[in-house]
Amino acid sequence: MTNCIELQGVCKSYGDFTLQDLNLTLPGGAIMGLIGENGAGKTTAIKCILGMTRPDSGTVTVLGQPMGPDSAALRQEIGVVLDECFFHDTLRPKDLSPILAPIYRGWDRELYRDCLARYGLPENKLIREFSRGMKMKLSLAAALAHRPRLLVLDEATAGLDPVVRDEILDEFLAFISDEDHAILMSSHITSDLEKVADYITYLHQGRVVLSGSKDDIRDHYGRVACTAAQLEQVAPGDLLRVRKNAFGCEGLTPDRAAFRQKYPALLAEPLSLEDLMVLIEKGEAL
Amino acid sequence: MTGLILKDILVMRKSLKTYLLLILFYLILSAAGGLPISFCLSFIQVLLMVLPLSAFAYDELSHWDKAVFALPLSRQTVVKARYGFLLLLVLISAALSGLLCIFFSLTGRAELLETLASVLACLGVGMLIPAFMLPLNYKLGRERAQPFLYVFVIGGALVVFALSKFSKYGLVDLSFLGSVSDKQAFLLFAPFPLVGLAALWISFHISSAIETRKDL
Repeated sequence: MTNCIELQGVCKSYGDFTLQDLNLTLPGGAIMGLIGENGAGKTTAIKCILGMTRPDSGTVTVLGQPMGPDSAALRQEIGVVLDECFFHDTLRPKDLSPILAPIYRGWDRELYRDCLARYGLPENKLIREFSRGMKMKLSLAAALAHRPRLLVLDEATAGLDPVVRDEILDEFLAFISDEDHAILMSSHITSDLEKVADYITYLHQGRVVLSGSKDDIRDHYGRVACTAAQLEQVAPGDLLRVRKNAFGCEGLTPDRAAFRQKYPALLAEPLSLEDLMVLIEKGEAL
Repeated sequence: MTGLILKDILVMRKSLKTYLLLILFYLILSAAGGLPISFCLSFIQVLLMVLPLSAFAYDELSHWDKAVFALPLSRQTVVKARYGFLLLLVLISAALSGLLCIFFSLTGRAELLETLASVLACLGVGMLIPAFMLPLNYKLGRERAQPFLYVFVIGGALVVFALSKFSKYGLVDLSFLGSVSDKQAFLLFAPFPLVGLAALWISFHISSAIETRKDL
């Protein structure tokens, strides 16, 4: 089966920021979560994947075809939800069908109306009067109505309440039940990714610091809590990152089981994606 | 492209309705003798100038100007749609102005050739200003391009004002304007819309090149 997204050695520089050597593979039937601090390069990566910008080097392949600013036809297969709803405030949901139907070959008016009804969005209300959650649902309805094979979501669940987020995550799971479909979603809300993502790619200062299946990360990575004296006994390389504070130290191990075996006195426990992010960003190399 | 043109119309439908009502209002005032017909024609020309630029403002406000590049459209198509919207406005303006001419000449309120000459001049200038402004909007963004519009409009008004003053004090001889017949004026201004269209064609290619090279 063709991978839905393949990035190889993608570099993109914007003066003071550089996305460096980004490699990423998203197979069909899967959701990949793109995480990282603000300015880590998530949006730049998404722009490269959507062909909104041309990488300085490296290759971007989407659904088996090279992607670039001239790949308009390939974008027919992609549904996009950005962090802000980009439909004008003076429009109504019912206006989007006549606007988008000539743009997307596969635009399905009935499916769009079904989505609006399912999300409880009134067709005749001005978008200006919508809440953020409603705007996000509208963006999602528009992204799904042309029956894309790939969904690319940039902070699509940010600022939404847990109930709406849960509804949207259910939509994502339904979408990838088709093995031909895939979702790439960047998010700060790691709990959402814990629920739905199959793969995680973690960007830090423009570089990939971690990429793999979520289950592997959950099964292998661990958080080690210890004292400063105990930390001195740990060999450099056994902990990727260490964070010291007034109450003790905590470290990040890439292999919990091996660490436990080597240091039976120290406790290496599973950690959440959020803990992992904090340790990588706030921690230092041992 | 039709989707994007329709988008501009739907986004600005409220403004378009207001402008149409204003035109109707001015038309009634003109018919009643309260306003010169040239006022109506100038108003239509101002609309031609303002509406495509307002479309940029709406797009920037909703971040559509960036997001549109995630749609399955080439950058040239996106630019083409904006110029298509402008051409649609030109067609509507031409039709409205033509109707005005016929109406006023049939009711004996104005000479057909003289009014037609004004219409042609207005349409030409109405296309020249967006032809100049659209590439600047694509290059600089609406906010930074806006002062150039003021320079263009105020500069033009100042030139006309200066010429009239110079003529009054005998520095420039504009007396020949009084002897220009309606037919001569019509023939003089007849190519104006064509000049406007040619300027739009050049402007479109410049805007396309700017958008194609733009790195988001």
